[in-house]
Amino acid sequence: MNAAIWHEIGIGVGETLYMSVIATLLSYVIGLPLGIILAATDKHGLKPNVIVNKGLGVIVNILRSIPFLILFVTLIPLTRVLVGTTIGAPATIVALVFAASPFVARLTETSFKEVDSGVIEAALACGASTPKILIKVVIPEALPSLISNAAIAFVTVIGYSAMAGFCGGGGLGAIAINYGYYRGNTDIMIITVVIIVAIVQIFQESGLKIAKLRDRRKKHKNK
Amino acid sequence: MTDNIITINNLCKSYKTDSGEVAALSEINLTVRKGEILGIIGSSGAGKSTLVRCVNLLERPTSGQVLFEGTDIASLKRKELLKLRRSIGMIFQNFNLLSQRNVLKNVLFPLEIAGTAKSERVDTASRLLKEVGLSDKLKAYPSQLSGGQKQRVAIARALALNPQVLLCDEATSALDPETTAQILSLIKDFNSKYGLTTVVITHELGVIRRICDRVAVLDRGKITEIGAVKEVFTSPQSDAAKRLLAYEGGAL
Repeated sequence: MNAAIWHEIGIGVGETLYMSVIATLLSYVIGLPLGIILAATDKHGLKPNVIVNKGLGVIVNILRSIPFLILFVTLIPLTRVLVGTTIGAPATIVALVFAASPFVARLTETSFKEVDSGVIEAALACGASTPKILIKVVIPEALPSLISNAAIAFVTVIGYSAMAGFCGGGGLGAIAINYGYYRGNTDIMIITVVIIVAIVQIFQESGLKIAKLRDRRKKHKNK
Repeated sequence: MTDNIITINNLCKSYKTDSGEVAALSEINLTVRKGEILGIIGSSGAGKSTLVRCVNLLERPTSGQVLFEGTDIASLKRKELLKLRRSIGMIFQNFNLLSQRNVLKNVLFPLEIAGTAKSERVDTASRLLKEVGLSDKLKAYPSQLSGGQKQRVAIARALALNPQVLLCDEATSALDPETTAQILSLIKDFNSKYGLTTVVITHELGVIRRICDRVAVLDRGKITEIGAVKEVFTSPQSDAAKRLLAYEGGAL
């Protein structure tokens, strides 16, 4: 273990975080609206629509069923067009967004469906329009659940990003595989894995903590 | 114009289920007079909640008419319907407060929806919360309140836009007898102070007896009897009304 390796690991941590954060954010840009559409077009949703719901559901299911590495390889031509390269962090981000968006769609759909239908009915009775109900009722009421699910999504993306190390994706996964696995350097493999575990732990726990702090349904201590 | 604020003509509502059409309401004819408290009583499954939801079109009638101040509400455009709903307040058995908003912000909600000027919102909401006796709970969240307090918030919210009618859907059914009495007298107060027309849905005779002027008996989707509370209670004509009263007698 020399300084150069530690330097590599440092860069790897940065890359993993960079890829995962950007990919998670982009996955929410795509997945959150899809989750809203899935929840709203449900039989008991605000705007029931069987065709849209089933159609979108099938697409989401198909994308979610494809193993990540297969998806990564299949997307290579598209990735080249989109980011001009097929290796490293930018290429991995493309695959991560494709893999995580449908997952985020399902996660957010679940959060939205947890919102009490009585509260939505009360908002309708107040004369609220559908967009107002989404913005002022559904999203705020689902917020604690959305936050804890965001932690799950982020952790899943970190897991995928590590896998991408096998096909030239950057980050800690690539270091674990190139230095640790292919060159038989067990120390490096263990260190990178421990770092990934630590990152996962930190984000998962803080996600849950923030969600809990934000949730007004819990009894507060009177201060 | 008559003094009827709501007129329901031949209203029917049926649902499609796997085992065919099920009629929830059939041939309902009913008027709500300006300023009165009308009770609609019936056992569970009689169609009370469906009926009251036809008044603000949370449920669409299968056939028949609901006139609000002479206007057929089914003919309203989407925007007009939203406006109409703002003149009909509603409270529920389960309160249905926004769990992530504090008491004040729950009452601000309809004012935000209606686009009331910002400066007016807080004044209106605070005044109403004072009237329902919750001035000291503005910053509390619903989870910190008792059932009675939650219903008070819901009442303040329902009245925020100064509606002409208040619909109460089993509003006291989740409350204990003492709290029920307090909520009922609050509703009665608003009725006598502001002439607020009120429709009360309930399965409890006590609720009708305590605050209603007239009562309609709903049984298996049909109105079997309607009249002044005193008359219906002293000389019930329909079997459904007799049955309801007999149960109460039996319980005593």
